[in-house]
Amino acid sequence: MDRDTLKTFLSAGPTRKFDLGAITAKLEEQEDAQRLFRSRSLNRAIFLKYLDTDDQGQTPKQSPVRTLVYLPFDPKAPQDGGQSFFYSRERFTDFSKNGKAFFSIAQEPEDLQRDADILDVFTDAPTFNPFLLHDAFERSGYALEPAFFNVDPHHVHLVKTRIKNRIRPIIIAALENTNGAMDRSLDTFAARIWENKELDRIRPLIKALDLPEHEAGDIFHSWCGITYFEEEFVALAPHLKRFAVWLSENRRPRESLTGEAAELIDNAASTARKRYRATWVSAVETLQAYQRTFESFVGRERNITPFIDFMRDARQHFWTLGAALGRLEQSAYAWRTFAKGYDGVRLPFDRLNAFYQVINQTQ
Amino acid sequence: MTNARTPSSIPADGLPGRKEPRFLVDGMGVEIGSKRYDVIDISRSSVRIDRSGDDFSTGARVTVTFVSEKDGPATPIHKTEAGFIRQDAYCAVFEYAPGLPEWDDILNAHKSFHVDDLNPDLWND
Repeated sequence: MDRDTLKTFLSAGPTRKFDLGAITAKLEEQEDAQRLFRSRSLNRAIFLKYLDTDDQGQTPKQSPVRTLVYLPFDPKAPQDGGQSFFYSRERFTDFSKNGKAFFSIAQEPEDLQRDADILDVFTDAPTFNPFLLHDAFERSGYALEPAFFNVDPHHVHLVKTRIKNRIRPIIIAALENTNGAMDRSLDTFAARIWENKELDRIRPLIKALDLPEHEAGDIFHSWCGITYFEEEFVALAPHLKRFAVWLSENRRPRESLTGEAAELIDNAASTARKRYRATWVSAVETLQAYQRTFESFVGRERNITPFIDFMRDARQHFWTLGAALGRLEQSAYAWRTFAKGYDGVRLPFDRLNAFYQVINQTQ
Repeated sequence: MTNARTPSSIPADGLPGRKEPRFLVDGMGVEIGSKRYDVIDISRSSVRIDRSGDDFSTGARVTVTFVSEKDGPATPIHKTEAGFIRQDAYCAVFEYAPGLPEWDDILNAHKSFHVDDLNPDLWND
């Protein structure tokens, strides 16, 4: 990763970046502050969600996002360089052996196991949206101080309520022809799905939805994530609209260009626009399919088949939407960084070219 | 009536109290007596709630207070009379008279699905 790209990633928003180093530094001001990892250097790490793309900018459907663990040599100046690895258990094991020359990594098997378990949580979702990360740690059973997550309790309450509101009509529609009233309260029933606990107690629902039992937990988790992303896309839309308009009006630099330079800029602008459009349209279509299949099932039609089809692909939809959200949010952040100080005027050639390189590399 | 856009709705299913399209809403509940119940879905004249194991009597008339939790703690938005229609394993359905000219706007503000707000042509020139 070159410096410009690294710089852009490090200035990314909460969707793609989790700066544990900054949180640790803040916590160190308190006595007996909690440490997340037993490896000291991991508490200085910055975690980045990285899109796995090929030359055409396409992402693999099942796992389009990888988690990069970046350990800066100087935690106070992460942009000056460091070492990184894409997380997997194997790579972490390798890093624990090879990285100890520069970093403080736990060496006891029990400590390494615990650190790897926590790293698994970081890879459990396609983005680092504070709500999703908070939720992932809650599910994993690691009790973390609120300082680790920038989440507003009222927002968490609203998101959980919205997700439960989506779950309940499905329970009602799926079980209306069965004797499936297992929990006295619908709310308790919905909470089992939301919390992904005691799924054996909601087996009739899993059966009614024709879901593979061993995948039900993952499917329900993904479904809740899709419902969460829907609101995030709605919130991001106005920012993206401004970026889209800017890109349309300011795709060329302030200098008058001819020949190769003009072609270079036009091609870069065209690539960016095509990729963002494809990403956006695909995300909106997925969300529309979610709404359509949902309403078709809980409404008069009681047409369960399209909803089941959607649910069976829920994991893929969840990760693809997360990748799209990260890609689009990253573009908006990069635009804000590069266009700062140039309100209402076009960027100089060098700056605009660097901007296109960064967004076309990082999208 | 207002010019509010109709929220995304689920077609009516013809059951008693469900003659009109129903809307999935977020951040809306009802208080009956001193107890709060979650709204599952709502039409302009009937509301289905999660009855949380409580039983209601046939033909019962109750006072319901609709509350909104959209912007913080529950705030009353409308108080009206409602008649119990039926209940099943989890839900109870009441018919009510909205009586508020801005009721469509209120439902619209609480609608659950926002996909209609997303313009697929955002990146078109």
